[in-house]
Amino acid sequence: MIGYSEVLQTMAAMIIFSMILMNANSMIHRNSTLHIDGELEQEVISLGQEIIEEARSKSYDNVTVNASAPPALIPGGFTAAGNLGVDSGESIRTNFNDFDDYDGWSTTMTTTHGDFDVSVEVFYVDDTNYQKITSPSTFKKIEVTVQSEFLREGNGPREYVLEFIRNYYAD
Amino acid sequence: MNIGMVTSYIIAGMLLLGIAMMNINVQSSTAELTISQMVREHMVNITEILNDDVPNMGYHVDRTTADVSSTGNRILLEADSSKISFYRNLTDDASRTPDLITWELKQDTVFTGNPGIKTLTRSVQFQSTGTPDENDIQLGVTRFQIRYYDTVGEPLGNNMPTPLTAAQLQDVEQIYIVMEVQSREPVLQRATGDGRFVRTVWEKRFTPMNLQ
Repeated sequence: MIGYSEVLQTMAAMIIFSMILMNANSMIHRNSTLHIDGELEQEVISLGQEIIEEARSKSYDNVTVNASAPPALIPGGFTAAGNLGVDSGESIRTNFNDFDDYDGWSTTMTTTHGDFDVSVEVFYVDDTNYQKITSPSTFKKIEVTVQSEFLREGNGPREYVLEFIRNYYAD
Repeated sequence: MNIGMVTSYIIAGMLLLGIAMMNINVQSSTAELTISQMVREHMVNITEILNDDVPNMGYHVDRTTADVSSTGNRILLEADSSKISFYRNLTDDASRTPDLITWELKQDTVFTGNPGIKTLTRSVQFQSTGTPDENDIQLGVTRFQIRYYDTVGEPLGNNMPTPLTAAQLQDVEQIYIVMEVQSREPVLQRATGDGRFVRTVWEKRFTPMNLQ
């Protein structure tokens, strides 16, 4: 073994070095992931806020669009919970004219950071606990879900949900 | 000198080189992450002001829209691809005439380290006193692009051509802003070479209530 003991020692050093290298690579990968996640999550927030802001600029309900007077019955006069969503002649986003037209709407938005899948749900909520209810109320909640193929959790894309509760009287 | 000794010296040399390279890579990655956090912090500082200014354009008091008789009751005074001027009341003082806010990306060079960085200016013309207040933001902005839409929800590519005419100013319903901030100095991947600038991009489409 004389003359080869140094080789064995060097091989041992290589094994130790390999382990350190793998840890360093893992750290570099984690840094890159953090960097990209932060950048994309910033975009997710912007897209969610964009949809919520846009929906807020519309009337509370279809019956209040350009209405000369509030409905006779509040909240009973508002659109039934099962009929929330687009109304006739409102097939595309530019036609939406009330808050709940965005219910069931989904699209893929192309940005500087790639494509993001956006889907929206709007429903009535109880005025005390803000839980989903199936009858009209003076509170509607919008939930915007944004996903990107580059923001993953496990095997699937991570879901980012942005919410906003709107009150009929606070318009 | 025996062959084992020679071999071990060669391998040891390779190991040392490997360690040095690994050290450079780790340092570079950490530096990039730190600089990206700084760049993003700069971006947040600017977008906080924009997120207050743009949605509130045309704001007066008690949910009324700015009434600026001298400009034909317009909210927007000027709308170009890198400049926007609009009125808003900065306070809740009903007696105050709404102030004129202007955002503009100047075509200058701020830092020699990154020649792409320009000055982003937010100026406030206090209408009550007539005093202008200009605030130069030199936090690494390299791009500040504005697009205007006359219908809510239009595809991004269907923007109005800029600059907008006086008649078109009253048709604007949505405003899309994209801004890019870069680091002042490049991050070097090797001991030599130019390196590259760390950048972050923010974009948002606003729907100001007073433009609806």
